[in-house]
Amino acid sequence: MPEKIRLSILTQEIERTLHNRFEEAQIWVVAQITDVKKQPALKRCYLKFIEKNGADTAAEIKGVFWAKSYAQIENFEKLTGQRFEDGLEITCRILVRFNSRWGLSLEVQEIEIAYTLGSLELERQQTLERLVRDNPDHIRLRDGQYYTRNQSLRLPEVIQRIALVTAPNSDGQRDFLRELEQNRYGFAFQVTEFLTQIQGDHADRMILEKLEEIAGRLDAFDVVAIVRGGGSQTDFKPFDSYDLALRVASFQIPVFTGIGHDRNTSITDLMARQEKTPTKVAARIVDHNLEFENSVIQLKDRLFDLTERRLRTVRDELTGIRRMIRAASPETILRRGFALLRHNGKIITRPDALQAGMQLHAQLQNKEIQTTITDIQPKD
Amino acid sequence: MPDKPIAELTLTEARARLQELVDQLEKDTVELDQLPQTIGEAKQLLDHCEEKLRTIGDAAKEAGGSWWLENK
Repeated sequence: MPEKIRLSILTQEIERTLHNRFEEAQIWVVAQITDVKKQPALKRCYLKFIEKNGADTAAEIKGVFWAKSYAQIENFEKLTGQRFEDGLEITCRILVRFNSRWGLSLEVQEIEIAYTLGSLELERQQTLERLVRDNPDHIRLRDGQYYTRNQSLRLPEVIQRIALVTAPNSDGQRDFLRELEQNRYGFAFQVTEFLTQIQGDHADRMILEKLEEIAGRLDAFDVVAIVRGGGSQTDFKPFDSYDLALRVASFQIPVFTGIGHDRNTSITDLMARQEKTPTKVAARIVDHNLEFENSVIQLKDRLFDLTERRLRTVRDELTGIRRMIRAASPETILRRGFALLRHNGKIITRPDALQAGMQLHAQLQNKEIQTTITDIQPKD
Repeated sequence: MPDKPIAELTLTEARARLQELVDQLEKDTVELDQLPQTIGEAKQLLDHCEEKLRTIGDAAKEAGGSWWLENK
C-alpha cells in the first residue's frame, strides 16, 4: 500500500519546496495578462499570466497586485496611455507565492514601463514597414515622411460636401459640426454622417465598412473626414490597424483625419491629411474655401484696376489730342503774333501768288487790316 | 460671355471666366465700348461665387446629407 498523506501535509511540502527555491527571489517575468479584475477601492488587482504557443496556452499562473504595488498599475496607465487590460504583454518583477488553500500565484512588485512602451512602438513600426514594403504604389517613405496616394489627390477648389466618419453623440462629432456651422465667413456645408463605433474591438473593421459605403457614392462627396475626440492610447488602437491605414492611403477622394489631441498621431493619421483635432479639421476646410474666395476677390480687384488704368490711358490720350488740336488751331497761331493773309476772301497759302498792287486782308489776333502790297522782296 | 448662364456655372468655371476677363484686359483686347459689359460680367461672377459659397443648392439637398450648415 503506497504511503498516504493528508492534503495539507502535501501542500505544506510544496510550499516549503517553493520557498526554498524561490525565497524572496526577485524574478522578472515576460507574459501576457488576462482575466484582469481591478478592485480600486481595495487597491487590489487579480489577473492571470499566460504564455501562448500558437493557439495553445503553454503556461498559466494566477497573479495579484496587493495594495503596496497597486500604484504600479495607475503609473503604468498614466505613462503609457495604455489601459492595463486583457491582452497586454508586460514585463514585471514578481515574487513566487504558494498558499495551501489558494495555490500558486505570482505577487507583482513592479511593472517595467519601458518594455511595454517599446513593444507598442515596435508593433507600430512593424505595421508601418509592412505598409510601405507591400504597397509601393500607395505609400512611400522619404526622409522620414510618409507620402501616400491619398495625400497626393488634389483637393477640390471648394469643399462643401463632406462624408463624416465619427462616433454618434461624441465630442468629435459635436466639435467638428460646430466649427463648420459657426464659421465666421458664412460658408455653407453639406455633411453626411457615417456613424460608427470608433474604439474597442473590431472598431477598425467598422470604420472600414463605413469607408466602403462612402466609396460606393464617391460622386456625392468632396472629401472624407474621420474624427474623434481625446482618449487613452488604447482607444486609438483601431487607427493603427494595417487594413484601415491602407484603405485610407489608397482612398479615391481626399481624407482628413482629426483623431484625438495634439500628442496623438496614429498610423491612419500618417496616411491622410492630418489635423490634430476634429475642430482643426473643420477649420482647415473653412480656410480652404476662404482661399478660394480670396482668389476670386483678387481677380475682381485686378480686373477693376486694369479697367481703371485703361480708362485713364484713354483719358490721357484724348487730353493730348485736344492739346495738339488746340496748338494747331488758327487762334493759337494768331496769338503767337502771326497773321493770316487773305486775298479775295481766300487764305494765301502760296507766297508765289502774291503780286505788287494786290489788296490784302490781314487778320491779326485782335485786329484786321486792309493793306496793299507795294513791294515784294525775296527773303535770304 | 461663357457658354452657359452665370447662374449655372460651377465655382471653378466662374473663377476661370474671371481669369479670362483679366487676361483679355491685360492683353488689351477689350474694346473701349465693351468695358462696361466686362465690368458688369465680373461683378455678376463675383456675386455668383459668393452666393454659391454660402448656399447648399436644392439639388444637393435632394441628393442627401445629414446636416446642411448654412450660416446666413
